[in-house]
Amino acid sequence: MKKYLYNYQTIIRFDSPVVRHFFRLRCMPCVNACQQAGKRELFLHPSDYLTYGADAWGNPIQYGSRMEAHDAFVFVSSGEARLAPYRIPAGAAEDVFKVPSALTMLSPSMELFMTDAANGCTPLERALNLSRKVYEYMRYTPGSTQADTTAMQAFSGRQGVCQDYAHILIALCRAQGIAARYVNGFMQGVGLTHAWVEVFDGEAWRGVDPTNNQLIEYGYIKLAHGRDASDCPVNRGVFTGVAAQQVEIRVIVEEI
Amino acid sequence: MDALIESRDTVNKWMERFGVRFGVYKNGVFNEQLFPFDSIPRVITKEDWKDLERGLKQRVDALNLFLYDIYHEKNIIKDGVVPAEFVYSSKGYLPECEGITPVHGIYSHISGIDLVQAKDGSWFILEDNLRIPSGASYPMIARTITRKVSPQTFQAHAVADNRNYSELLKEMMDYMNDGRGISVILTPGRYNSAFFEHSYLAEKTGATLAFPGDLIVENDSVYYMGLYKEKQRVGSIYRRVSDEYLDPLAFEPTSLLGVPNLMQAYRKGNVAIINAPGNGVADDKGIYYFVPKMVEYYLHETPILHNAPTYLPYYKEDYTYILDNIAKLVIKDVSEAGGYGVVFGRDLTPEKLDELKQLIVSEPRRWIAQEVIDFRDLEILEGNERVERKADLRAFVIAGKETKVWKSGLTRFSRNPNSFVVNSSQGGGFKDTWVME
Amino acid sequence: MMMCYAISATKANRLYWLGRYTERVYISLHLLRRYYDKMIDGHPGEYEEYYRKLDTNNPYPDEDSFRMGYMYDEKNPCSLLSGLIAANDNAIVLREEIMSETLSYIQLSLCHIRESAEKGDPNITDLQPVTDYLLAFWGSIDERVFDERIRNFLKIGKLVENIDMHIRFDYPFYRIQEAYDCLKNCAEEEDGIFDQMILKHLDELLDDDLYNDPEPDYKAKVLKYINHLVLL
Repeated sequence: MKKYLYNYQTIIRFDSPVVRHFFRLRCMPCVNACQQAGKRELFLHPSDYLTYGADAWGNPIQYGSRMEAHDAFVFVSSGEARLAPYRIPAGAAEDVFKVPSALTMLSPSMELFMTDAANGCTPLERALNLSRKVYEYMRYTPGSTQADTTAMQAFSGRQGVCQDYAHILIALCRAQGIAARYVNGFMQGVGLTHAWVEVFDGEAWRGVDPTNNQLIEYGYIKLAHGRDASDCPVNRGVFTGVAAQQVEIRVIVEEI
Repeated sequence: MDALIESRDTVNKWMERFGVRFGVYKNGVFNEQLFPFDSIPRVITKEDWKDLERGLKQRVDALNLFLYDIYHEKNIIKDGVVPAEFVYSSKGYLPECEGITPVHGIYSHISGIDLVQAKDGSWFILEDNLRIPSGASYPMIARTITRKVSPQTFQAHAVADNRNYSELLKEMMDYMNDGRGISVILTPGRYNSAFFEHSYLAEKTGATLAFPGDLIVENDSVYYMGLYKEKQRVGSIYRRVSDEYLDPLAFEPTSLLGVPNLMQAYRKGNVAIINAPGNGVADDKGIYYFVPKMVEYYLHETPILHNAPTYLPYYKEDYTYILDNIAKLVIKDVSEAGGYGVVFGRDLTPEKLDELKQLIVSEPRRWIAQEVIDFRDLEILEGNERVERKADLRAFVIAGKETKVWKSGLTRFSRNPNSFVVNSSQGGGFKDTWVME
Repeated sequence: MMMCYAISATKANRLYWLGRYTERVYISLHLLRRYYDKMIDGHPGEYEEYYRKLDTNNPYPDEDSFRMGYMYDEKNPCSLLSGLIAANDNAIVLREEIMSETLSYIQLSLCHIRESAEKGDPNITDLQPVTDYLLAFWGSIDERVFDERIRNFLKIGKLVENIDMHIRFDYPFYRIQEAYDCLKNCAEEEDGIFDQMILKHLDELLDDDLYNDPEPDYKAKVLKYINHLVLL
């Protein structure tokens, strides 16, 4: 087991006050066979109530509302996580992660791209091959894509961010019959939230990070998983009001 | 009966008076139209009804068991009866519903099962509507009026009273509510095509009609918001808002019609949602093929009602049959809803047929093919003349403490003599449906 | 089924406006009949007084277009047709509160006036059924709606409109006073429905002497206050 301290904060500023603000967050680390939480804390302001629960995938969620007018919304999630090598035992239904989802459809050119990358005998080896291909093919370009950019779009533009790398790899793995799911969380160091992929190797879910072209062992704190990014956003909210938002995010993860 | 038939215009006048309308958008402009009533009823004999009733109950019971299974153990997939990909790639499958056990385990509380009768008198299921089937209010109010306008007709014929639909609904809503709070009907608003029905059912059941924004979730419970911060706990929601708009934090984020965090209150079992979200996986055009198998699988019974003979190109045998017989089949795109994406092979030129074949070869999962059923046409009044037109029947099945079939239904017909489409938005009308006692 | 005692803000607002619009159409019909009667004796331009009192610019050049316009012109917000459309827009979303039978009188009124409009019927007497339906509408409310709060919201709207129209058309003060007292009675159980500041002003302004010997801006002021009194 390795120990990590994490601190994740988001500050949202509205340029004019909003009301009836409802939110649903996935900003606290989940607990599984290779990830234990020491102490988990959430500071959130303002809110009328805050409830802790789980979504359909078993991810921890934190949700609530603020009805009165406010022009800022802040949450800080911090604590200690203990990580074992990244292997998560199989859950109930893995089949759903073999079927393309809205953001992970395969285009003909992606199918072509995949043909000579399907070498390797185990699902994990094939996934790692594909991950390397994606890593080499794509250019990491912040701001080039949006939250709802599909794997196809990012692939044809040949650029994107971690979310797009993950979507492309997921689409390719699924086309190979490998169950693959989208994960978001924190990566060791200072930065933003990160996204990677879990592939099922027949016994356990293994972490593959196509953005950094590596098989994950330590240093990745998982928040949530789903079929693709739209299943497990870290922060989703709706409010009444005409306001532009300015969002500031900071993540720090350190090994202790 | 003649007196009733002659009273068509009077009845329509009464319907106008009660504001029996449905909304249509034409070129982006909202218009409310009357839904023309034809006074010749569809008559279903007592014997015929007995079979229909048994068959419909059986079908809906199996569909409810299927939905429970899909969102829990998935035994029907594990046992190889329904292929996994048909479930997981269905647009109606909502992983957000995984592991949720709805109140009393019921998913499809109100099912609208569309049937047609063939020339030989046998009935075929056209499709199951397990999400928000509409239309029951029309025969209900039509009967209220025809009984007034032509009492002697109903004295002379033993027709099962159908005005009890609201009672069936109310009984089911109460059962689902379990005394947790008030029952509401959630409408997307006045500009929804079925708004009349929403408000009429609210009036007749005594449920509160709730508009978007009236409901909020706090600490996993749903409340109806009154003036001056007054609020009242909600125990069941008969929602007429579709799944994707139901909770903007779980589904379509831009939805203004939904209730944020409703899915969480639902997951905790603090509110019943009628019908349950995620039902679309069971009324998908692709899943339709498997419904008779569900009856056998879950109930160990022989299906009483039959599907139209259907072929799935997904299966090798069917694939070959479809390609060989495409000219006499009707081909449906499973990803399209309603009357869209339906093509009759006989209407296509040889070139178009080849194109369609190519589509089926490249995407076999996307299509189903059916034999064309020779409908039994029903008489309608065109002016004062009786003519025959295509018609279907939507039967309503209410599943609460027991599964009950409403002794009536919505019979829709097409005005156009050559059309098979009986959709109300395309100029058709409706008839009362008489079940004889 | 558990009773719902809460009334949503939008529902209260619709009830209020349903009350206002039905009363507006009812009184307008009555007044229009009076003005059309005056015009029989051939005072051209007599009608100008009508729209002046309603604060609108005269959209119509002559007697005939005035007559038709105030009955059937959908673009004129003060026409009978516009008033009925607005009443219907509110009534249609209140079916479960007021009952289909009550709603049907609004539907009947609207259908009737639309038919007259289509025929271009210039005779206002032919709109008598609309008056009858509107009276039946209020009768049906009395007969079928037992929730005191629902009735009160409707009546508050009706009385506000009544006071507004009667002030505009210089009805005797006792008529205003009666309606105003009644309005306050209806609101007794609804804390917070009135703007207290405006209420205080109105209490002072609605005075026999001030009304009968008004300052130049008196009428405009009272109208403004009465229209902003209810917080729905």
